[in-house]
Amino acid sequence: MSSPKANAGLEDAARLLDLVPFLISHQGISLVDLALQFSVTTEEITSDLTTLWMCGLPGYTAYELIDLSFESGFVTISNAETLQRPRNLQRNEALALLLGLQTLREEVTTEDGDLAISITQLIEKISSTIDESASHRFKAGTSSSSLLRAKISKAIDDRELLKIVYHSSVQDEVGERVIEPVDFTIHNGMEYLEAYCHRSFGYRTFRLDRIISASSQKSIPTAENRKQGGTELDNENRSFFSICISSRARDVLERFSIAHSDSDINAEISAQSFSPEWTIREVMSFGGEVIVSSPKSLRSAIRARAWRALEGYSHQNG
Amino acid sequence: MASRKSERLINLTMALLATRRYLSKSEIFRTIDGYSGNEESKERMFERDKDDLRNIGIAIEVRSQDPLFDDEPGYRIHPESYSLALGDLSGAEIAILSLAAQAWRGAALSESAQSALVKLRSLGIESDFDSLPALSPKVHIDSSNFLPLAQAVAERRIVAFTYLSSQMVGEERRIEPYGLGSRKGVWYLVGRDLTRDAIRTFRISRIIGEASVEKNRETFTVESAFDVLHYLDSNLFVEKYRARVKIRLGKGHTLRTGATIISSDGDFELLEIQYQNEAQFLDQILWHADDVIVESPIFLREQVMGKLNNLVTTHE
Repeated sequence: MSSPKANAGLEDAARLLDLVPFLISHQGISLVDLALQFSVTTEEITSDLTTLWMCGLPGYTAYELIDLSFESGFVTISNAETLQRPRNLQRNEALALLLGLQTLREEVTTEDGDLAISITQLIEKISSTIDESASHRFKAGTSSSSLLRAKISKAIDDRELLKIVYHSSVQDEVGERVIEPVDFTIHNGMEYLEAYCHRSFGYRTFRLDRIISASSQKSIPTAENRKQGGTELDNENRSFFSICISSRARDVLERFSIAHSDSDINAEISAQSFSPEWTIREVMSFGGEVIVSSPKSLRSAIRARAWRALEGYSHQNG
Repeated sequence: MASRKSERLINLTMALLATRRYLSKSEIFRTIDGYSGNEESKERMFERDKDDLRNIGIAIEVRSQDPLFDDEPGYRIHPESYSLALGDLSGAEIAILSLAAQAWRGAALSESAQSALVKLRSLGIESDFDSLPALSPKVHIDSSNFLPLAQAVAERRIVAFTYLSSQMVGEERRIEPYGLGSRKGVWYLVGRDLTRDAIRTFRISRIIGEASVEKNRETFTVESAFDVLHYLDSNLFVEKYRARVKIRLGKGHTLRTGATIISSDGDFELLEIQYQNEAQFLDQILWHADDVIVESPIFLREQVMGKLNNLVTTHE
């Protein structure tokens, strides 16, 4: 894996070889579309075609050279039968397809047995182009349903409303809400959906694996049908607090989304959250290994909650 | 300059693909456009071209021309080894492969996925999406080290990196990489840790800086039955323990998945839950604060009470 600059000529050659079979199967394609397919500019694709036009079989007369026409902005090719078949997959290409297929395979529902079989067969086919054990040595699992993602993607494209059943982790509640989905984002390896929420009248972020179901919704619910959400994740409601860590520093930093690099774990560390409820629960889960030093109100909220939880245990005994 | 070189590489590929017999070096230099200079520089050029073509996955076959006089070797490219060998593919299969390639949007292998897609489209088979349900898979990679690690796994090369320990110390590791797998959005490398001489699992997002793949191809064997997800599931994600836990009605949704309700009593239900990791389960119980009360095992119950006490005293 050397630098791309040193291999510029080689990369060009690889692209030229791949251009020929693509052009043969897409006679008359526009330069613009062609550039798009190969992820280069139209200038680069034109320069590629100019180079290709000089190539051919020994002899290099009009009978042996590749014949290309692209002055009109549309490309046709002939006399290039030698390179007609697409090239074999490179390792990273095969790996991309393999991991993509595995992700797909995990997301196909059991009632779609035929599709699952087709995917499994393709996994074996692609894997064998790498080596016999590739499909066991590289394996992508999944974290959320692709059917759900497809439904949401469609709603984003069509600017449609969705009714979702969502498990709000902070509240630990399952509830319905009508949303206008905007975009997917990824944070700490988890996939989130950004959307305008008609229950809380603002933009909210939903973790995809906590969306239990989604269905299309024709209209915005009337005021009386809206349930008021309590303290929810709210981008404008950011609050700051300080913590001290006594052990398990790596886990603490990961959970509070603090970069590993820019923190001195022996000092007081400042952190932020969008919800006091979230902060309380996260601090509690560390059972005293994380101590909130400020603000005072947060400290007493944690003490009160821990005390209430302890009461549950004493009640049982007595 | 670059275009002269790629021109010569194309011409060489075409000539070696079209020929039915092996071409000698002198024939190549005489007939293929682009080889110039004295004999020595042509030789050098040809050697470099062969390496270059191998680097883009094109294998040049070498064979002795004449069994009696093996002084001059001959060269050709086998069309079978050159071209895409996926057998017959249906329109539905092309559509499935397209979906698989699209799963990389914006992620580590998106360029490779796109170029694979171009090759598949070049087969001229109309993709048939109508036969598929609306699916939109997505591959997540949470580390820039995915590509070097994938290379190390595929080529069975030793890989070295600095790994962040749970005590926040960077530790140097040298690993014989066995496999790369993901669970719940997190990617793991499994391999033999050469210093510790034991199989270990690493979260690739905890690798500090760049992983370096060692140049020497030291051979190591991976058990033929090795399956990375199977390894992860039976080592990281196995549900070994059982607990009986009281959960407040309408609460504890993550705990309830996969649990069985034993009985119900007023505001609380008693559930039996299986879990895989004691420390993580303890975290999870504490996270639920007063909505969850552990009944058994006793040591877990006592640990929860101890930690809650700890929370009270540290936040006094």
